[in-house]
Amino acid sequence: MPKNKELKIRNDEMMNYMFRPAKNIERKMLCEALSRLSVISDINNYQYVGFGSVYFVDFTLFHKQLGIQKLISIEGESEMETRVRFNKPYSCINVLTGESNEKLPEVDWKNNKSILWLDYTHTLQAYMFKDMATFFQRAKSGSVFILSINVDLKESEVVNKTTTEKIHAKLNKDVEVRKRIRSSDLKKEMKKSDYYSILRNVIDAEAREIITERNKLESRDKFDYKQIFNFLYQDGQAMLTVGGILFSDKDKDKVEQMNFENLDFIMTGEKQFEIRVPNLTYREIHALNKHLPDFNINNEAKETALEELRGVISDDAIHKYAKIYRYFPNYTESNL
Amino acid sequence: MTLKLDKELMPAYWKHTFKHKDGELQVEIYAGVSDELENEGGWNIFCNDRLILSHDKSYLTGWTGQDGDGVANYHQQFWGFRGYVFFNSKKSSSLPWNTTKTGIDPDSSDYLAVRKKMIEIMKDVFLLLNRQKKEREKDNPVKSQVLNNKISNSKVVSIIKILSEKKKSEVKFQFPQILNAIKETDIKTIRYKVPIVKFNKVKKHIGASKPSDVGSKTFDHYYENEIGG
Repeated sequence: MPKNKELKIRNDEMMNYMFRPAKNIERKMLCEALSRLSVISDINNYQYVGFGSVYFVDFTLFHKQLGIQKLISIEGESEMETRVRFNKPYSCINVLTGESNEKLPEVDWKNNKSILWLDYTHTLQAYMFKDMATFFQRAKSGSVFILSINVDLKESEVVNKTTTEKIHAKLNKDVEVRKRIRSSDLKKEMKKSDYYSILRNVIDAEAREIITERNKLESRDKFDYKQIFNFLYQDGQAMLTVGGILFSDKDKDKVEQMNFENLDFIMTGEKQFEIRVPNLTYREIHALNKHLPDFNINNEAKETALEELRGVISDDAIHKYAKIYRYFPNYTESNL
Repeated sequence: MTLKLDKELMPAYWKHTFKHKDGELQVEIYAGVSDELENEGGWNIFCNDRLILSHDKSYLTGWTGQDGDGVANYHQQFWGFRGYVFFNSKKSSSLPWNTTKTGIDPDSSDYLAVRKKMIEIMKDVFLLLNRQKKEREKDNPVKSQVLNNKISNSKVVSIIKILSEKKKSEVKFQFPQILNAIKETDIKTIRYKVPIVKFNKVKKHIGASKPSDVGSKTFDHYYENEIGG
């Protein structure tokens, strides 16, 4: 991770990570999907590698919910080291101080299956492809790759321009990203969703290209990659999370058995699962919960719910909530 | 052409056989560190024992710089890097060399896959080179640089000798897990202002080039004479 002090400080001051509702929901969805990994191997054989910062929210969740015992946090800001180590919630978390490009090769990819979450705060950039190469060249079958990037178009230097122009300005910023874009993806008129798809396609193609090169050197098992995550969420800045599972021929059946597709938020293609968090009161939440999950299953229940809450909650907010209700965060004030 | 070898310092070894319809192509890689000499670092590639690329530090062998798919551009920090690739085949046409047999064919599918492996091996060796650099920083006295001293004192072995002791299985690059770098918390920054006339006199007197050198040298002078050590 290149040093970007300004962004880091702003992030710290902006909001505690724990209170970002969309991110909170995304994390819980990832966790639910990751629990299916037990089909392929005991979750104790997995290690989690991520960017814990000072909050370690993902580390706490994966340790408590999945039982992962080996966790590695990469911290790019050397001046944050003391604070990061102080905030480390469990003894089984190992902090590596340095940039991800430099520290990822230090991880033991050979003896553990891995879950890697490159939770960047920046837009897609050349250095991220190097991190991808470290994972896809080295990770064992059954390992999971997750990458989050900033896809916000608001702060583009091109002000008062069309969405298409803003997208072009963003995509032209990094030569390495630009040269990986399929020309057929660059349409004359583009929407935000086209921008997200372009980036997803670049990441997906990069993963597959690295695997193709790796497979030339694999004598026995050949590797494949299946995308399972494609989230779009916004707690301020629009963020895109893309990810999937790396597996060899021998584990292909097990990946099928994991049955990821029966989870609503699993996205195996270009289309994103959008996490949009409606503002609701507790009374409204309770009223909505009484209609769930029926609301999502049959039309009659849906009509009843919409009718009952008409004038209280907008249809749009009800639909947004129904999509994510099992992961909706509950915030209460408490003295810990 | 050498590599350093010691109890805790083991070069990486990797091998693979490409099985094509018209014949096999064997590849072996040895990589690690040796003496830090600017013109000696880089990759050396052999095809059927003929050296076709020596001390290469270009894009072709993965030195792409920040924006490419490989590692950083070659500079002093990496002078110690040594990599040796041996391609062998009974059929000369299976080798990844160009038509004149004087260089690598950059479009060879086999070579491109091996090149990716070379990049990953470099990343492993750079873990040591990065640590060595870290240990040298912040005016750390040479006698305190335990990792650098250990590497300097490791024995240098010629690649011919290493080749004669053929390994059977792959080995990841291994290096001593010691480091005695000066931590940020072990350092105190001093800032003070002095008249420029006096500053210039002292600067000239001690032959310093930067204000920070004037500061550290005058401090060292006081420390040696008044505190001792």
